[in-house]
Amino acid sequence: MSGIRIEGLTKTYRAGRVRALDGVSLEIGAGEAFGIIGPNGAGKTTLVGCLLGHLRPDTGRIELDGRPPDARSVKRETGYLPERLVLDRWMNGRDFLEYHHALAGLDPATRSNDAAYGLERVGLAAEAGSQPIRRYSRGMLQRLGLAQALLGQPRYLFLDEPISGVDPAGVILFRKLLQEVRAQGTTLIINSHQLDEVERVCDRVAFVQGGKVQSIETPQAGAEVSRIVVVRWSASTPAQVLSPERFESIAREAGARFADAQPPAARFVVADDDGAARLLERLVAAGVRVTEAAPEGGRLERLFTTATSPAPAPPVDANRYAPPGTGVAGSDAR
Amino acid sequence: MNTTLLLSFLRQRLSSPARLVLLILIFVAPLLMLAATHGGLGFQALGTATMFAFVLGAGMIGSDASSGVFQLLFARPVGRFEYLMSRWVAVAAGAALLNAVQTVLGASIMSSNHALESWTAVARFIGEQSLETFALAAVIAGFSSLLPGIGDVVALFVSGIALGILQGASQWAHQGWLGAIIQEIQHTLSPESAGVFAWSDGGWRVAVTLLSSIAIGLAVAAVALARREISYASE
Repeated sequence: MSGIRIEGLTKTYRAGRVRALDGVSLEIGAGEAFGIIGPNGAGKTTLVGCLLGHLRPDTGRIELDGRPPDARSVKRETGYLPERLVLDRWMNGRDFLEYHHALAGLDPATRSNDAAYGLERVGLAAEAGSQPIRRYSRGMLQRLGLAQALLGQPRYLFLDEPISGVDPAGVILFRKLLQEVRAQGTTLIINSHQLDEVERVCDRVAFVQGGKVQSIETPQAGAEVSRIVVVRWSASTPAQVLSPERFESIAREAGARFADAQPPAARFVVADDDGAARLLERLVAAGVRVTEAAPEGGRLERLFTTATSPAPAPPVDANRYAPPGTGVAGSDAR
Repeated sequence: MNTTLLLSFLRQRLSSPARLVLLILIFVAPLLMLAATHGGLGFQALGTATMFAFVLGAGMIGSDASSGVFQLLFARPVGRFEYLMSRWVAVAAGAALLNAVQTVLGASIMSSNHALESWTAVARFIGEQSLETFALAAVIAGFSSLLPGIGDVVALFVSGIALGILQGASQWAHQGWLGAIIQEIQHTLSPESAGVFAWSDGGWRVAVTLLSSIAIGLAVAAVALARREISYASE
C-alpha cells in the first residue's frame, strides 16, 4: 500500500503503568491531509512521535510506503514542525535553514537559494534571515520552523500545532502554504487543537482519546452539519410560539428541518443561505423575536465537545419551552 | 561522521562568550607564564589539552538532549552513532588542535630562551596530549549521554573526588585489591598519556588504558543514545 499504515500500535510509559496508545490502527493514503485531534494526554503526540521514529512502540507496526519510520530513506523525505519548537538559537535564520538543508542531504548547489526562498516563502524578510534566532518573536520562530519543515518538498509533512503563536496574517499564509504542499502530493499529518484549521485543511480527521482512535471524521462530507443554524430569541417572545410542534411546522414551511431546542435557542438544519433566510423570515412572521442567528460550530468542534464532555447533556425538558408561570407545555423536542 | 554536525557544533561552542573567554585564558595564560619564566616551566605549563576538552565538551550531548534539539535533529536522516562520532571528534580534535598550536608557540618561547630540549620532544608531547583529549572526550561523551545539561562535567568532578576519598580509605584499611580497582577506574575516567610512546618502558600499558577509556566512553554513549526515546509528550 502506498501511504502510511499503522497496525495495532501500543505504547506505554512508566513500565507499562501509563498506556499512551492502545492498539491504534490507521491507514493514511499518499497525498492525503490527515488530522489528529483529541484532548490533552490523549496520545496524539505519542502517535506522531512513533510515526517519526522518535518513540519505539511496545507492539504494532508502522510503515511509510512500506518502510519503517526510522529508515534513512523515509527521513530524507520527511518534514517536521514540532509543537515545542527548540531551534539552535545561536544561528541566524538563514544559517539555520542552510544547516537543515545540509542535514537533509539536499543538493549543496541549491543550498543558498533554497534557504533564501524558504525565508521568503514564510514571509520572513531577508533582514530577518540575518538576525540571530534568539531575537525572533514566537510567530517568527514558527514561520522559520515551517520553512525548515518545507525544505526539499518533503513527501511526508508532520505538523504539530503549526499555527500556535502565529498572527492572523501568518495563519492565512500557513493555510496557503499547506494548500500548495497538498497540491504537490505531500502526505500531511496535522496534530492540532485548532479544530477549525484542521477541519479546513484535512481530508480526514482521527479523534484520539485514551490512546485509541475513537472515530475518523471526514470534515468536507459534513455538509449538513455545516448548515445548522442556531436561532436565539428574546424572553419577551410569546410562550405559545415556542413549542417544538410550532418550530417543526415553521421549519417545514421554510424548507428547513427543526433539530432541537434548548431555550432560549433552537437549532435548525437548512439547505443553504437562502434556506436560512427563509427560515428566519418565517420565524419572525410567526412572532418569534429573534435576537441572534448564527451557523453552528464545525463538525469537529461538535464532535470534540460531545466526546470530551464529562456526562451527556440532559434531555430537553419540554416544560422549559414555556416561560415560568405560563403553564404552556411542549412535547419532547427530540 | 557528519561534517555538518561537526562544524556546527564547533561554531556553537565558540559562539558562547563565557566559553570563548575560558578558552582564551587557557590558551594565553600558560604562554605568558612561559614567557615570564624564560621557558623555565617547560612542557609542564602546556598540559592544557584536557582543560580545552572540558571547556569544549561540557554538555556535548546532554545540553542537546535537555534543550529539545533532538526532536528536529533526528527527524533528519542523521544516525545517532553518526551524531555521537561527530560530537566526539569535534571536541577531541578541537581541543587537540588548540593545544598543538599553543604547544608550538610555547616551544618557540622555550627555544628562543634556549630551554627547548628538541623539536622531537615537542612532537611527542603534542601526540600525547592529542591522545589524552580523544580519551577524555570519549569519557565526557559517556557521561553526557546519561546526564542532562552540563551534568557530565559535574559528574566527572564528583566521581574524581569520590574515587580519591575511596583510594585514601583503601590505603588506610590496607586493602590493596580495592586500591588497585579504584586506580584502574581513576585511570579510565581521567586518562593520562605521559610515556605512551615509550613502548618498551610500559608505554603499551598507557596505550591500553587510553584505548579502554575511549572504548568504554563511546560504548556507554552509543548504547544510551540508541536506547533514548525522544519524547516531549505530556503523558
